[in-house]
Order: sequence, then structure tokens, then C-alpha cells
Amino acid sequence: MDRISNLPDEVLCHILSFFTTKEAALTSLLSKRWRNLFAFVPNLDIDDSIFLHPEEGKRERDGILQSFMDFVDRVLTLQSTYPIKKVSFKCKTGVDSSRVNHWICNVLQRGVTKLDLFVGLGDDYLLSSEIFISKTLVEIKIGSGVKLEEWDGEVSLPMLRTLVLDSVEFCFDKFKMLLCGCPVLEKLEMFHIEWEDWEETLLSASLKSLKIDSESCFERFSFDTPSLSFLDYSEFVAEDYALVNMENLVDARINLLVTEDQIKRAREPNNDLVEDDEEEEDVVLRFGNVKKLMSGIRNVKKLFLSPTTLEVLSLSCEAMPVFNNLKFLAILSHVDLGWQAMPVLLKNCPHLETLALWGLVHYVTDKCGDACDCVSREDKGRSLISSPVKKLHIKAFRGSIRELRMIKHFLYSFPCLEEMEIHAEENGPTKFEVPGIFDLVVELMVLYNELTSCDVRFMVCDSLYEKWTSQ
Amino acid sequence: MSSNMIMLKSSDGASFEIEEAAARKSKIIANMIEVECVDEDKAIPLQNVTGNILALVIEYCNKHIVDDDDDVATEEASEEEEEAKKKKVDDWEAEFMNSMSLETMFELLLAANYLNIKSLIDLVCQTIANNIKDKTPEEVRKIFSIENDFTPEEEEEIRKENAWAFG
Repeated sequence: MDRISNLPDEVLCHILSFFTTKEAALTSLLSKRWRNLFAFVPNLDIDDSIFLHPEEGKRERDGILQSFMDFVDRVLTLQSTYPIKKVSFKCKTGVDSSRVNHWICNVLQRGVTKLDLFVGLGDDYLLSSEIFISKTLVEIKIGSGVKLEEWDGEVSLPMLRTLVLDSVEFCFDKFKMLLCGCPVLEKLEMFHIEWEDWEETLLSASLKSLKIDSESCFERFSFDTPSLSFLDYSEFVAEDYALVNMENLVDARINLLVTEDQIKRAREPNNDLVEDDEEEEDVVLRFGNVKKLMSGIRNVKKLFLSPTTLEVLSLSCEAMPVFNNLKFLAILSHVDLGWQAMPVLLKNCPHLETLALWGLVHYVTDKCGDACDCVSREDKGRSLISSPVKKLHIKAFRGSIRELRMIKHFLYSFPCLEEMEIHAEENGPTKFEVPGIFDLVVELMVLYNELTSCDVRFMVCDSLYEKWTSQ
Repeated sequence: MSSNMIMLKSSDGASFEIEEAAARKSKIIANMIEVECVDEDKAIPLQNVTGNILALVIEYCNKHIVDDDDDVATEEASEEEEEAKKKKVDDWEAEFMNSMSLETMFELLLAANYLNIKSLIDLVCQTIANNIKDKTPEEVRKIFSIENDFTPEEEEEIRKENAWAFG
């Protein structure tokens, strides 16, 4: 027999484990030795949308979906009660939902540890509730249009460490029940979640990493997650954050979503000209409660804030907590959003070492002047004088006069600055396209480097450097 | 880190000196060291591995010797440094695999399997898998000289039951 076919079964299965089940299935045609080998790989990766030779309308062709379902049935039959580790099922409309649930139950019974489900079978599909009772599952990913409603609520996932939910709908109380049944859960990621509840408490003593990327509007949201060390939160501002318990948080990325109307109201709370809509609400009060969220995350070492978050924070400046542990602060800037919260933020970071600014251009208000030099006044930049920042990183620099003025201002206002790294914008228009501007800016940076004690570096990627210097 | 050297002896009698830390990449050798059945003056005999293959295994182990201590150090290293380091290892591995024939690759895989060096098994299996991926069964048979022992009827039968997969 040839060399490869002579390899032991376990080694051949190891080779096949680098394929999806479909790719592995193709080897069944090589020779009798390979006929059923692919079925004994300890992973199953089944995706009904990937065809070897894609062609229009293939999915709809007679017998294709039937053939797909028979294929999965056949593989599962071949595997019999053989233990299985990792399973991924991806299927869409047309696949028989009772068969999908049968497949899921089959692999659960065989002790699957990682289960990745992407089931887009429409509104009528009910995920088998057996998935919530498993002694072996370590990781679950559920994607697309699954509604968690018709289960009696019994959850027992004693080994589950990672849970990823995408486009899942939670009926009343189901989320709490789910978390209760996961005593060792460490990582939770939630995308595009729909909730029936207006109030939710994320309660987990074991959770270390949490990512929420949704567009839900809560009346009240609470975090009771004392072990959490990483938080990535992107969500509409909740009316209230009743409890934010994350004493051990190290790294946080906060993106509070707001509507344009909310920003208008927040900037001019007493202005009658702001149109009333039917659901009039007190934006000032709503944004004011963000202070509770900020106070809850005050122990972080590393913090990223989106432009809208910075704008929202301007309404809770008086209640800004002191970030005693914060060493690294990154702020994304947007031309339509303000920096009013920047001065207070900088004042309240007494041990900050690195400040990273993605973009410098922002919406100018009279309060900016404490941090930047947008508004001309005597005591501009006052909040910078007490800041211990050593490194300033500026990204997406477009070479405008306004940015250059800010760079100069920072250079002379931060008393402890040792290093300034300025990265030119790589995607999008810049002033450097104008002949001569690039050389001028480079000269200026060289000059700053000589005149100040700060190490000023201007970074440009190779391709753009060639483009801008060849003009 | 201890720089104890140990001796390995191939099936065809060639001797190799290797740092203990590198040799420990092999679970089998690590076990032998644990239970102290390694005599300092005596070479460990490896019945199933020839000298030229053992040389490759040792080259691989020496290159990956630092991996295990890295876990502690990574905490402080920046993401970019990590990435650069990973790229360097990846490039080395690609070059390493590129330099050998299929025949050698199979022998190396059997040796890695026998010595139980998980990362090397993964590397070789991945490389062989890449040789099979996106090819028709006919092409794969040709690359690995696999004899088709199906009758045309049997082949048709398999094609039919995997219609979804074969498309």
C-alpha cells in the first residue's frame, strides 16, 4: 500500500481533522482504506451553505437538501456512540428542524465539549432544550434567530466556560435562569440580543470576560460580576445602572450608543426648539446615571472610550470617579462629538502613563478649552498641567492646521511628556495629498523633536510614504 | 534553566546530543526523564527513528525550545512583539516543511507520533492536509500514489450518497 494510506488510523484522522466534515468526506472516494475514515474524526463541521462547486440555485435544486440531511444522518450513524469533541452545525431554511434537534441531541449524548450552532430555520424553530443540560459542554456558540422561550427553565451546564450568543431572543427571566445554571462560566459574548425584560441583572460570580454588542434599551441594567476582568460594552445607554459590581476589572472598552436627538437634548436641555416626540424622556437624567457605570469600572488599568461615550460623560462630569489604577486611556474622536468630559477625565487619572487619541478633530464647545486649545482663553490646557502622562499616541492624523495646533499645544502643556507618536491616517483623505504639505509636516516634527525634551515620532506606512514623497 | 545535555541514539546507530529542555518536547522522552531511567552517560535508544529523521526532529525541538518559558514572559510583551514573534516561528515552520519531500514528511510524522510531540504532529498533519485541500480525488490519488481499488459501480454509489458534498 502507498505511504499515506499506511499511516495509522489515528494519524490519518488527525490529518482529516484540519478539514470541514464536507472536505473530509471527499476522501472517501480515494480508496477502500479511506471509505469511512472521515467519519472518525473527533470533530464535526457541517455547513449546508458551502458547496464544493457553488452554482446559482444549487441549494434549491431537487434533492440537494435531502442529500445534505441524509449525509449528516449517515455520518452520525457511522460514528455510532464514539465520543466526539467539537461540533459545528450551520444550516438554514429548508433543513428539517426536528432532524437538526435530533443531531444536536445525538452529539450531546456522546459528550460533545464544544458546540457551535448557527441555525437560521425561521421563527418556528425551537432549539432543543436538551442543550441546556450537559455535563460535558465547555463551550457553546448559538447564532441566528433562536428564541429561548419554550423550555421549562432547567439549566445545568456545570462545565461551561464560554458562551457566545448571537441574535438570540430571551423571553422573561430566561437569561437569569441560564446564567444560574452555569456556575463556572468565564467568558460571555452577546451580540444583537433581543430581550423581553426591561430590567436585567447579569449575575455571575465566575465571569471574567464579558462582551455585549447590542442595541437594546433597558430601564435598568445591573452587573453583579465581582470576578470580571475584561468588559467590552456597546449598547444604548440604560436609564439606570442600579448595581455595577466589577471590583476586579482590568480592561474596559465602553461604547455607549445614543441617538442624534438625545445628543441635541443633552446639549440644550432647556431648549424648547428641540422637537418633542411622543416618547419624551429626560435625557439629562438618563445620561446622568452613566456615572454609576463609570464608578463601577473605576478600578480599570486600561480604558477605551468611544466618541459618543465621551459626549455622554459630559453630563456626569461632577460625579466622575477617580481612576486610581488607570495607566492607559484611549479615546476615539469624532468630528460631531465633543470633548467636554476630557478635562475632568484627565484630572481624575492621577497615574495615567499613556494617552492614545484616535483622531483629534471634535465638536468644539466652550468647555473644551481646559484640555485642548480650540477656544482661545488665558488658562487653556489647565487640566493638562497636572497630568502625569508620559506617552501620547495620536492615530489617524490628517495633517490639518487644527491638528497641528493641538499637537503643539499638547507638546507644551503636558509637563511629563517623554514620547509622542503620531500616526498618519491610512484610510481616507488627508492634507498630505496636497504637494509640499507632507514635507512641511515632517520638517515641523523634526523641529519639535529638537526643541523639546520629548521624543517626537511621525509614523507613516511605507506605501503612503512613497506616495507622499514622490509628489 | 538547566542546560543538561542528554544523548539520543537512532535506530541506525547515530548519536545526537540535545538539551534536556528541547528533548522534553517529546512526551515519551520527558516521561523517561521523570522516572529517571535515563543514565547520564548512556544514550536513549529510539528504535523507530532513523538518524536523518531524528536530526529533523531535533532541529524542530531546538527551534521551539523557548515556547514553554514564554508563558510567563508574554504578560508584559506587547501585542505587536507577540505577532512578530509568531510570524517568525510560522515562517521558520513553513521553510522547514517546504524543504522536505513527501516521503520524509511521512517518516517525520511517524517519528513525531511515536515520540509524542504534539505541536510537530499538528504541523506535519496541517501541511499534508494543505496538500489535499481543494483537490479532486483523482488529483489526491496522483499526489500520494493511492491506488483506486473501487469498481466503477462502487465509486458511483459513493458519489451518489455524498451528492451534497461532491456537488
